[in-house]
Amino acid sequence: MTTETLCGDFYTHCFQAEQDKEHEGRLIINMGPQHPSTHGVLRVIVEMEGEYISRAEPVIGYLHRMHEKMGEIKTYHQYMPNMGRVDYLHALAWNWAYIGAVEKLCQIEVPRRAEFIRVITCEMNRICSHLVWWGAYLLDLGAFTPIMYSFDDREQAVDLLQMITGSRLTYCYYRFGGVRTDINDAFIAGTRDFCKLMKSRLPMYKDLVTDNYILRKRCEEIGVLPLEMARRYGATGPVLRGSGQKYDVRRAEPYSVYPELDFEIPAFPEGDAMARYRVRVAEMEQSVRIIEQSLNMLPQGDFMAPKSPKRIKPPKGDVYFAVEGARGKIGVYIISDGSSTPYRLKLRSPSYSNLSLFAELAKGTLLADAVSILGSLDLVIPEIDR
Amino acid sequence: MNLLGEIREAIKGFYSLAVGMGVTGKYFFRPEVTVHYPRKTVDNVSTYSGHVELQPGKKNPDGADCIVCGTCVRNCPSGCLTLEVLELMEENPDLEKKPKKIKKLKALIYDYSYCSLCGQCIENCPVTALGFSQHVYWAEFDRKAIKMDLVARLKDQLNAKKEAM
Amino acid sequence: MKTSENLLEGLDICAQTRCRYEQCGCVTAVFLDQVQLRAAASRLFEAGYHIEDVTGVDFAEGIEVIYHFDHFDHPVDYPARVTLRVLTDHESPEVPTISDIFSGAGWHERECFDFFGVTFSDHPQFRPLLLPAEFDQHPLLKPEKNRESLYAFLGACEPVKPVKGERYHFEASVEAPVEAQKTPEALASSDTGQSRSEKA
Ligand code: SF4
Ligand code: SF4
Repeated sequence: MTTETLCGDFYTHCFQAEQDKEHEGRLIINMGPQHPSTHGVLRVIVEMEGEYISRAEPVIGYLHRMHEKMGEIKTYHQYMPNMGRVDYLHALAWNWAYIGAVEKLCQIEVPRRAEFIRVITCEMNRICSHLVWWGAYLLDLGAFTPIMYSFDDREQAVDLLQMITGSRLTYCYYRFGGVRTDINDAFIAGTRDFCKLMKSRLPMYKDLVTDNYILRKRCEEIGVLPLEMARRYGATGPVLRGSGQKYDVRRAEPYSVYPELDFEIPAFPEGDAMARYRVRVAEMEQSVRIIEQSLNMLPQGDFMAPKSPKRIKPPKGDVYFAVEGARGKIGVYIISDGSSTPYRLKLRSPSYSNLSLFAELAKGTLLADAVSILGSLDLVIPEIDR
Repeated sequence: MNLLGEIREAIKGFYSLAVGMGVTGKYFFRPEVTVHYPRKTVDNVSTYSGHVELQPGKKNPDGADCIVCGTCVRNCPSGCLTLEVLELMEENPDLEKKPKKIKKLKALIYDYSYCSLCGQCIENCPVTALGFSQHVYWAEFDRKAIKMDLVARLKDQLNAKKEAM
Repeated sequence: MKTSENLLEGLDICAQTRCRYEQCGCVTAVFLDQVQLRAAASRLFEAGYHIEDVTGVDFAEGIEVIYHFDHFDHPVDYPARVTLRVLTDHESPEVPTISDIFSGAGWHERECFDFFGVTFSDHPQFRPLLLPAEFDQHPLLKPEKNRESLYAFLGACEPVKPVKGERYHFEASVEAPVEAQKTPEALASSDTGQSRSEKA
């Protein structure tokens, strides 16, 4: 063996060892873990054949915090703040997944007003998440201006969420049996204004970016993900819907008051990066619709179940609860042994499954397109690593 | 692709560019939306939850209402609160009965660097002695400086208020 | 669509339980021997299921590997989550891989190895994923005294298939709590599967 094989770490060695004999001379490079287009600390090892990727392997775990172990140590109440930190862009969906799972386990009733508040805030947060993705993705592709607009809009939404949750990013707002604080008139008025604003901004986004010729060239027919492959990998969320499957947990496994709300599930059959892009933009539109409807339907009443338990001691058993996050199906699986801490707590994060298909998807693409593909998967590394 | 197609593509490209530039141009004349931070600050900090602090008491206006029950310490997921209790003997004891012990809050040590601002301590306090502060623009060079005694902080705040009056 | 209950018809399964979706979020849980796992997974794959996750739980009887599957096009009021459960022992935990059937399982299995030390035989890229390669411990394994019996957690579900098998010993342990549970409410719920399919 030459000294060459001694370079790199464990993963590089494994990657090298899997190299075909006839391709031995091919260049192996590391993209990341501090590559700006990997949104955090994702590392991808790629084997290049000229400008084309012949093999790729994502290496993750740089942000691993073992949330699942923490879940076994902390009480049900104490684990709540962890949920805001799994996926910082759509923290409220994770809040909801966990709270919902425990509520299901303990059969806690949630007042209707609280359900609507949850829907409103969760959808607001979804818009925030998509806006960040939108800006960051375009930044990956080399367009600097859009992120300025998207952060401007996101700022409005974050200000509104701050008004009721007190935080701006890592929310810890939902509680067993309701939400922490009620929403006020200022929030409702502000949210209505925000919906109006978004409705005027989305056409602008279309003019500025979606119709842009350069963007289309960077996205169309790039990273085509067939539906069959998406299913094989368990991809969910916009990645799956970009392959034409209308699957959304809000409709497939209805929770909360979503069945009463009228919204569509955007899906585009092309399966390329552009389709995923379109799904997310269309989803923002739908979220605005959901928020407006929920504001109109918002009932009076409690925002917290009056009999919500101060200490949670669920009965023995297991529960799986899934919600639709901005990146796909978020699942929380809890096995309770009847004590005040879970026996086992499993977090199913959508980006994890979505990233696992990258190795297959990136095969044979240009390195520059791999950046576009990675961006179009909308990865949030803390959520992948948990 | 033939030549005609190429030309059509190019025109489409230029057109989309012009539309985009149009948007940018329009926004160029809109008022500025950013705040130049150290020179100016945003005005909505009143809704922000900063670190945890003891609130001036309703029953005890010179200090906090805290009854030293320890609920906040037990409920904190990150273990950032520590109680220091002063145990006093009851003043003017009833001579027949055994003198009662009174627990008094000496210090409530709070380590902001561990706090996740979840609000468990605040919600669980039986006398709502704790609350979120609006102390937002706070930066320190030393990690130890953000570990503080909430009782002392409250005292300082109350004194400052008195002086201002 | 086949209901998830007769989906695995003909396979030699140890036990199957029908679960209340409202309570535990899945419709059926199937307890399998390791030899049947791949066959069951192929059935699910052909029936159009997708993989949600693979995870483990450390019980007193051994490490149980849990697979969750769901379906994209199930009727709205008939959720389709299917759980497969395979038991392996503490000494040399090993389960056949299904990553060639469901490619997405590959990473979940590697994660399962990180956390529990379960080896998935014939996995093409079997190496640590989330934890560093030098770290040779498995953080989600419990100390022996904290392990609980797997049967303690099965009370909420109702067995629908004869229970047998080498590794799972249901006969005595499961039947009792279920009988005790047969309140009118539990009985009513036991045929929700039927009423749901009538609705659909
Ligand atoms: S807000 Fe949460 S983390 Fe901070 S001191 Fe209170 S309980 Fe502890
Ligand atoms: S919970 Fe409230 S009353 Fe009890 S020790 Fe903490 S601050 Fe004091």
